[in-house]
Amino acid sequence: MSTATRAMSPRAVRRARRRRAVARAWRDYRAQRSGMVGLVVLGAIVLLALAAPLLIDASALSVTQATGGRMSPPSAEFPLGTDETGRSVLALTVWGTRLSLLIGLTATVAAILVGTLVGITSGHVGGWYGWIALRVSDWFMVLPSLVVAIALLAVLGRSFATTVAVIALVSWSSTARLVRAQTLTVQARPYLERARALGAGHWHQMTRHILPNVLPLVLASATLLVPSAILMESSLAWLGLGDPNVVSWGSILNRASSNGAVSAHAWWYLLPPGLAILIVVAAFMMCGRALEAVFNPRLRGEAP
Amino acid sequence: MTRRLSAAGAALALSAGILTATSTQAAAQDDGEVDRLLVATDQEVDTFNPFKSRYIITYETNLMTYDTLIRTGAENYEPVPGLASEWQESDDGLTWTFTIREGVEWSDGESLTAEDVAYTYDLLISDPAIHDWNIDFAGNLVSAEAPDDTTFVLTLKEAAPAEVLNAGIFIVPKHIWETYPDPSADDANDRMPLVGSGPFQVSEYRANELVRLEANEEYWDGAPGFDEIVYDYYSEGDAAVAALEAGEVDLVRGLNPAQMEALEGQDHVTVNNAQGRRFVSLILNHGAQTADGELYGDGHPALRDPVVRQALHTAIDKAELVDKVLDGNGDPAVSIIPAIFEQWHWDGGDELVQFSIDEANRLLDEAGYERGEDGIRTMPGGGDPLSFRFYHHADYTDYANVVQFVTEWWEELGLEIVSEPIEQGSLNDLVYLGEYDIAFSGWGVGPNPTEMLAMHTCEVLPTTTDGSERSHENFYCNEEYDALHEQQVVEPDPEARAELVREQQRILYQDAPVIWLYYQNVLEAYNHERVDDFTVQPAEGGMITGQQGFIWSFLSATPVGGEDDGGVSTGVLMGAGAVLLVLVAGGAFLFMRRRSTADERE
Repeated sequence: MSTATRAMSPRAVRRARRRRAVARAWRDYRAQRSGMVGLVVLGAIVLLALAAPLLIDASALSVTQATGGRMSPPSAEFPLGTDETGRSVLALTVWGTRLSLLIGLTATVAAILVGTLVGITSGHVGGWYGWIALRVSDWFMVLPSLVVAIALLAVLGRSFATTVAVIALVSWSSTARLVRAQTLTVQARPYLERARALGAGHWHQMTRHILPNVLPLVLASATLLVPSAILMESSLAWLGLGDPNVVSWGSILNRASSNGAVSAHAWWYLLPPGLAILIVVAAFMMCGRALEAVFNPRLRGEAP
Repeated sequence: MTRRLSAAGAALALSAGILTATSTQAAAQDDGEVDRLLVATDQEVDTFNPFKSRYIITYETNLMTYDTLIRTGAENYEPVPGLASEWQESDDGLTWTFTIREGVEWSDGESLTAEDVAYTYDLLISDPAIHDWNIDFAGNLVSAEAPDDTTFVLTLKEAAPAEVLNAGIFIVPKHIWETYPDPSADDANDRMPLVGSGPFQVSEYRANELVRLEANEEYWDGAPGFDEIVYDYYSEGDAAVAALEAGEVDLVRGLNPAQMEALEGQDHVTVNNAQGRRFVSLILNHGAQTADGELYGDGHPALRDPVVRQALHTAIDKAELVDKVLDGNGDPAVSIIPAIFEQWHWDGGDELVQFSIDEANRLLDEAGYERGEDGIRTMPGGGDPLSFRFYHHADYTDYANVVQFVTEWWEELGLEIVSEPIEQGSLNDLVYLGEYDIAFSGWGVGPNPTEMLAMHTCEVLPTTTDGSERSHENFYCNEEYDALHEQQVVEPDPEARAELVREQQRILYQDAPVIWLYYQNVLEAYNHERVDDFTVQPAEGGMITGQQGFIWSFLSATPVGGEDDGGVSTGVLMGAGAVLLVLVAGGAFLFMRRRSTADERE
């Protein structure tokens, strides 16, 4: 055993250690029932989103090829009824999954990238740069995000890219804060002092020592950012600030309410996208919370 | 914290619909003493200065607060006496003599004389800002005089009978307006109650809450049936519909088909589906230019080719748009004058463009716009691809629906369509700067066709490229068209004038700088257990709201006795249910966030 370990290359050692860490995290995660439920639900939804083009032809979204009546109630042909142009609400909702998830994920990735970058550099470099970065993130934190998002979208115009950018802009600061705090704790550990003594540069310290240590936290935080990004996208689209040329859950709700679905009591038009938002947000929350419990160092003592 | 804020913010915004529905109930309580007509509105007030206001709501408050010399008839938009009991045109058409009614009083008790009329018309001539704002009409005035208390004489530069008859200038009280430091200012006329001679005067205005008008019991044409008219603000159409269902508002306009259908099922509601005088059109950037012929802006060069414009026109199924977008509540449009004005409307005859994707493709093929490898056509000789920016108003649901249909048809022609919703103000800026390819436009048309037709004459082309001169619709200039326009403006014989006007419409239709999509019906509903006797305009299947030249409907409307106490309607409950769902999502989110923070604190 000991000879075998000695024979392993440093890279192999590192790999083995990571494998063990992942296995341990997975074991901790599995122990949490709500996390597992969330994961299964999420898996099913992602599968549905990926398979949407196979299940329902894209022509179901075409208004000129729509065959249904105007806001007709659920029937055998249209299990969830139709919208005001005669398209199937079921098809719209399934296709809407793709965009809602995509915007939620893209915006989160963007926010996490910026947040992590600012968090690590401000924590590691410190000084006046760290101070300014901190104040900037403070500033973004106290801005009322929905109001800022509405104002920005009104100025920048409505498209997929601007929606993602705006959501990322109003949600990166909490990640930056979190990462900065973790960076400061990692900084204080002796092995970083050792690395510095051996002549490691800032780049090496940040990428090889700090980043791997903050990544788990970042992952947990990202999982919790996704549902808020999806909610934000839905709210913006519902307020009529989404890209109207694409189908997302928020935009379905927006079309429903602006075409009088409420007055017409067309519940089949309002419920499916609303429920879809509810389910996805709940699933992400369950996963995120479970991940947080696994990775949060302050909870580590409880883990077996 | 931001996450929590954002979730909370989203929840707040999403519940706004419910809040508006419930909060307005409080504002609409009736005290039983006053007969009050409650009209739902969502439009803000631009200005109470009658020379400058451009919005529908202020047009209506002006019509009620003030009088005009000549009204537009309820029967068929014909000119009928208003403050002037009769009028005479000189043989050369340059001098008009009006006889002003005797014994008319302002709402503050002062008497109204020809002196007030002369003062009002003189503002149009001598106040530079007011003159510019009303340049179409004011530019043609020479003098306005009152030889005695009942005679008013107007002198023109050029004969323009239809302009004078349809001028619709609101006569303001000289003794009040003389005290205003600057009569052209937006806030010049803000002292409540306004003094006017019309059937109702604006007496109170609270932004986003209400506009109150009190009846003029001494009105020369008979006291109105109601004591008060109150415009009550509802930011959501569905909230206004729910309020009508619950009996909290008496008249709702601008319904969509689903709302209309819902209201038709209500016993106490009468729905009015009237032919409208509004068109919706697509304007094409066929070459933004100044009066000197200098091209500017960044419009796609292909749109300068009439064949491309004709192909775009051919590939739009207007009947389908009316059927699907308007649910049949409108008519496919042909030309710039809506069919409601049958005496001026040109119906296309044999030259009517028939919808055909194949024909449109053939036109483009023959003109040399070949398809590239990606299926997108390019300019003849392999130039730029035919990719058009397509701008629509962000807050018009109908337009967004139209965009979907039209884009799908045009994509079958091998065109790339990049559609984008833009706020109304920014969209107008882009259009007048020539920085667009295709954009939406829509106008409510008045009984005098000259107003609309003048927007396409060379005369109104901008002199600068900064987009500040906005009398034109989209840079059209055609000498043949202009010659006809000059003739029709002075033509006294209505039949001969109609011929000229139809020929103008034919030229526009053929050249297709604009594609007219449909004429929209007016969809409105009222509570017939509270109000009755609306005079509609025109008499045959006419509208209650959106009347032109005088508000016949509100003057004749009478209250119906009987109170019913409405509860929260099912419409509100439905909306609440839908919003609740999303709230639960937000709530679950908040809840789990809170739990996780609690965990952290252990």
